[in-house]
Amino acid sequence: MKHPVLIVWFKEIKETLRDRRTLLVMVLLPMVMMPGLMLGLPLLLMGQYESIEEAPVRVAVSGSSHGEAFMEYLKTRPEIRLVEVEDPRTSLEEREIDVLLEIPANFQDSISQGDATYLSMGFDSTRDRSRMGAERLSRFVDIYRQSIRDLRLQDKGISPQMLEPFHVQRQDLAPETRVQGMFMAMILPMVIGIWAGIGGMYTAIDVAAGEKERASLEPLLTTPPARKMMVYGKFLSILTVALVTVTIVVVSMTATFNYGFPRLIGDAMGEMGITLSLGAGMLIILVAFLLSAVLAALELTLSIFARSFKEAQNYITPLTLFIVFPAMIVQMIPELDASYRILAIPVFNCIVLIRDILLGEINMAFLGFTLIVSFIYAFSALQLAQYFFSREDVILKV
Amino acid sequence: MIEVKGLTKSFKNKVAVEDVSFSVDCGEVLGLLGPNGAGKTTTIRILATVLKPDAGTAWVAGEDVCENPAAARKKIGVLTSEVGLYERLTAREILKYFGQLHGMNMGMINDRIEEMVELLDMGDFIDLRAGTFSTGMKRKVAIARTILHDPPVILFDEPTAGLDLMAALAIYRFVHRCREEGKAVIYSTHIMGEAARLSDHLAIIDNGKIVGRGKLQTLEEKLGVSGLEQVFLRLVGEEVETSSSNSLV
Repeated sequence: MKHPVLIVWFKEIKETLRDRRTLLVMVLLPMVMMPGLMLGLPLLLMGQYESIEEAPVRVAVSGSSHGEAFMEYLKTRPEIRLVEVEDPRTSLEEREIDVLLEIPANFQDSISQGDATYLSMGFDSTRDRSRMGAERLSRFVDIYRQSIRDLRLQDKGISPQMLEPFHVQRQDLAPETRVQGMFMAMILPMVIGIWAGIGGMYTAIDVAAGEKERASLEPLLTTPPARKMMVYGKFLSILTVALVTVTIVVVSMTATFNYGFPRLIGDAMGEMGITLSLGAGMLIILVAFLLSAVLAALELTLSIFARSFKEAQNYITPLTLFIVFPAMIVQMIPELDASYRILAIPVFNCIVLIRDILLGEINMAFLGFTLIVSFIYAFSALQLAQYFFSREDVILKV
Repeated sequence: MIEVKGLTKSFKNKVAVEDVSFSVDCGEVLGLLGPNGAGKTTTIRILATVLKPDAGTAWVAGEDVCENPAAARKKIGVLTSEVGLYERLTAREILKYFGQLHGMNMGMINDRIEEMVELLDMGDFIDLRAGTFSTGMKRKVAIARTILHDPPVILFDEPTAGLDLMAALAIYRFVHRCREEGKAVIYSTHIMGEAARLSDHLAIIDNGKIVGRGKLQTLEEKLGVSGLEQVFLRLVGEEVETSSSNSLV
């Protein structure tokens, strides 16, 4: 005869596998949505940037008569299209032009006399086309400026190299694994954390609050097994579903990074060599298991406390904030190193560890500590779940 | 088979049942009759070990519901007005689940399910998911769930609520069958006709207290009235006015 915990566990899993909503969240979304976003967004952005780069920069010039030589130079560049408008600033606002140039009255004279002057370039930093247009135009303006500088130096019999006594060679000495992991470390910890919470959410709501709403809880309570056996069985079902979800997320993201990026994103990302090794992937799943255990216990506790499906949803949904905020902190402060003090904080500890694994920094002592701490938190939450499950005013409408 | 002594239970300073005592022998049906809010469901829930009494105790088939609740639960089957089936499971899977929870092995469970299928005419839907069931079909599955483990004690808590006549008749037949099989049955209801029809003897409860107990005929003679309705009104209605000694406990 099976142990009651196993009986409840297997029954809840069977029901879960027949729930379309849970399957959507557990399997389809992580398998399709995450890679879709990870590949689709860059592809979309790249396509947009490519179309901007290919189109000529639309430039309106004020005071063109003050710099005829410069204007002639600009006309020779096929990457620049000079546009005549009545009000350049308004045209920039209305996206009729990308950049506006203002040539001051003394521009040509100053250049001829060997003096310094200025050129004013206006653009809209909130628009990619205008910002990128200004960058492209700046390159051509720099070429023209350097050619004038070189001519002036030649007139004086001075080599342009006199102005650059030395140049700096920069070399990134960061380990390759760390460089490869940087991009994933910005994204994966939050993604895994969120799915560890969302993955088991519907199961958690269904196995407790859902039972109350369906009036199937009371018949269950009249069966011989002790209530804590039912709590453990239901907890295991939530944990199983969350873990399967997280595993699918890690596998699909690994496939995205290892195969999707080089083939679809091409040189830019492919050169970065983003890969996730099997060992790192398995360690991440282990840490995600710890995170899922804590979240599953919390979700079950909240679901038991709730009187209905909707109430349970209202309690559990905000839990994602407790994942998103730590993940954002870890993302925004890359210098935040793991320590025993930080690893004592639930959820935060797992997010930090996942980041470190992605960066190739695996500390087994920290992993062991997080294992113990997470076990304590999950066990404590389960004790609370048991307590609520034994309270008559919580379980029944009394 | 069922012995209840001095059960008392309060919720948030409201007394739900107070000093409730009665007994039920094997092959007997006790009608627990009372208006809504009288304490019937609380009494049933205490016997089913879903609630713990504040005072008193009860024994079902020799097991103390307070001292040995798990052992007591093995001896009872409960059928309430709320069926509470798992919609994504088939009727067979639901029965297997409860059979396993009652400690039955798979062989016994399968045999009993086949018996239930024949007894309750569930052949057409035993392997269909409960979410597709009509009210009557759900009620049959609930009945099967109640007796799958062949408990010696059956507790009914307003099981015909919301049912049409045909479905209610099926419940009545089931109650009779339980009596014939020698089970101790408590049938809780607020419907006089049901109580009169099904009960071997009655316990009339009002405001958490038993105000009358015994066979209908005995109660009629003692109160000098005829019919359960008159008995009930005399015990409950006059108690509201006089709070005197019309109680026949």
